[in-house]
Amino acid sequence: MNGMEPLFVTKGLSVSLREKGGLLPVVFPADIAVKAGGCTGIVGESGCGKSMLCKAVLSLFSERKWQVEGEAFLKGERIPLENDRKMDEFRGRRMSMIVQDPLSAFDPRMTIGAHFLEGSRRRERKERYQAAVSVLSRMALKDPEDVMRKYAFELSGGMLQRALMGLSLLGRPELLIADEPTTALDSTVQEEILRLLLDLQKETGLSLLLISHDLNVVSRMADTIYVMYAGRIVESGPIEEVQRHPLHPYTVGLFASRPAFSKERLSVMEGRPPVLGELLKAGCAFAPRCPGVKEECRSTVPSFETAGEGHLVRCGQKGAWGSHREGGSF
Amino acid sequence: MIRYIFKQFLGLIPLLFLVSAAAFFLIRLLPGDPAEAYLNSINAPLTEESLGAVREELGLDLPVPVQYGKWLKQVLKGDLGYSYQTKRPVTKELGTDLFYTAVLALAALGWVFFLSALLGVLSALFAGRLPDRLIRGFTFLGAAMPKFWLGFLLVLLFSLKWKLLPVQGAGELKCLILPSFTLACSYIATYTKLLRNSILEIRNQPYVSYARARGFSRRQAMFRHVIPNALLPIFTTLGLHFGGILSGAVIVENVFSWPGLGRMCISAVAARNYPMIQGYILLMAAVFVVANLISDMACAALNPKLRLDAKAWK
Repeated sequence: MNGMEPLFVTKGLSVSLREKGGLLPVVFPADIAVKAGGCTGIVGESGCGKSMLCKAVLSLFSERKWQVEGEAFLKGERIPLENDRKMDEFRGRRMSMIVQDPLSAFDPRMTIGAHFLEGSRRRERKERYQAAVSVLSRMALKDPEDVMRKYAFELSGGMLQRALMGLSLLGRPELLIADEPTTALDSTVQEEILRLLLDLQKETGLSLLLISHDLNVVSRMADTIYVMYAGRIVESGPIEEVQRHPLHPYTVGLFASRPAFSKERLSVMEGRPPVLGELLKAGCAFAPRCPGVKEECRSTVPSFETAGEGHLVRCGQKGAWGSHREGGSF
Repeated sequence: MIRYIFKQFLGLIPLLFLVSAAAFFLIRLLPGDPAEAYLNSINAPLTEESLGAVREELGLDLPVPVQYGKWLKQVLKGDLGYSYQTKRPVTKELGTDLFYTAVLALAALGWVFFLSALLGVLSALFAGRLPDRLIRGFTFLGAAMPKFWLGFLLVLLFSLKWKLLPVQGAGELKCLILPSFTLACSYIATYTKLLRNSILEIRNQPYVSYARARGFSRRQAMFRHVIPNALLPIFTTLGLHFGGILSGAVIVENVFSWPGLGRMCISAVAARNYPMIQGYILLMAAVFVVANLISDMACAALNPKLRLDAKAWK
């Protein structure tokens, strides 16, 4: 991308559920890149596998239940996804995560401050405490020391998300994975959190992998977008390009159903995404909902092909799927 | 917190009052005459005359409500009357017996804590594999085995066959091992199972996987987040079960001739020793309430949410 080596890439990273009858794919091999200091957004409906993908990046799965294949690299260094002990060096230190529901991310028995001090030796405590206070005040929390004395259930959603961001940034990670960071928040708080993330990026050069179902959030934050459907990346590229010329009918549908004040009516995509067991069926997973579906779409899974500068699409008709397109028939 | 404890103690007064009335009237419904039992115990002849004299001496000739009134007045002064059997004050008799029962119950609690923590954690760590299955087999047996039978089996094995531990007695520490383990066994089974399931449930909590996402190892997440949280329900139920341990002590004390409250109670019932039975019931009611109170406080101390809720309620 622009000749520059991206900070973080995955190569054919896939996740499957180990079932009695064999492996059930949840995420098909995916190649994702995050630029240094950039933000990559992954969008898709719930259950499309986007959260699975980021859990796989941190290797947070129980090995007995899930199988993760493929590779991931951070600054050109291979991430040892298969080695739980070596992963401890990456998790929280070089890559860190914030989640949708910060309340459940804190141990209910421990104060916020105790989470920050967790694992520190006695002589490191003072230093760690100071670091916590400074990172929390950077998160625009007015009284960090008071917040640290509190338990998670005593704080509001917005404060909790800030505290969680502080906690995840304490180890100065290079990559922050944000899994629906603003979904559980009301829109004013959502705005504050997004602005905070943008500021942090500008200041510290933090790289973001942002997972969201909210296109507005992603198009505001991200420079690169990946659209996922039913466990597969169906379209990817620079955000402006994809926004201007969405090629996959699913992407077009997503943009069309995005709420805006300028719209009198909101278009809605018909149908539902396939469930886990249906992912192995032949043909394009989107075919049952596609307005421009052709016979061959139902038999072969389309490959990921270049459709422009850095713009890739997984559609058998490469966006030439009918006259519906300009009319916005969703 | 102090206010909460004080309130609980105030609540104890009407409860003890009700218990005292129930105890007093119910034991008088028992068949058998305490005067007869008394005369039998001192090998005196049973005649109309002697029976009347004893009844008068023990105050049993008065109408029952009047007897209750007199007794209650005494109790409020801290005097529980005299044992028919030994003529010593009931409070003194109960005091020495309570000490032995408390030692037995605390030792049993120790077993419960230590062994169920160990077995529960092992069982959860090896869930579904051999150690887990063995432990589950043991808990099944332990929960199903009656205490008197288990007691006899243990005596047979450790005392008679291997001659490792004494059959009975209470003088030495090693006399305590068999009775307390017998008393603890079914609770060890219950708590092992409870802890195992609690650990398996907590292990899937988001804050545990998030602790891993923050870079803590599997073992650190287990010992810092899973086990402490999994222990919380143990403390809650332990308070409720403490009463059960005390009543279970009645059987165990009789099997091992342990000079505690339980054995005293059985002999007092056999002799229709009314003041002792009444005193025992009152004491047990008080111990029950206090044990629950202590477990409430332990839970509040361990669970910040409860603690802060209690603060907000003041």
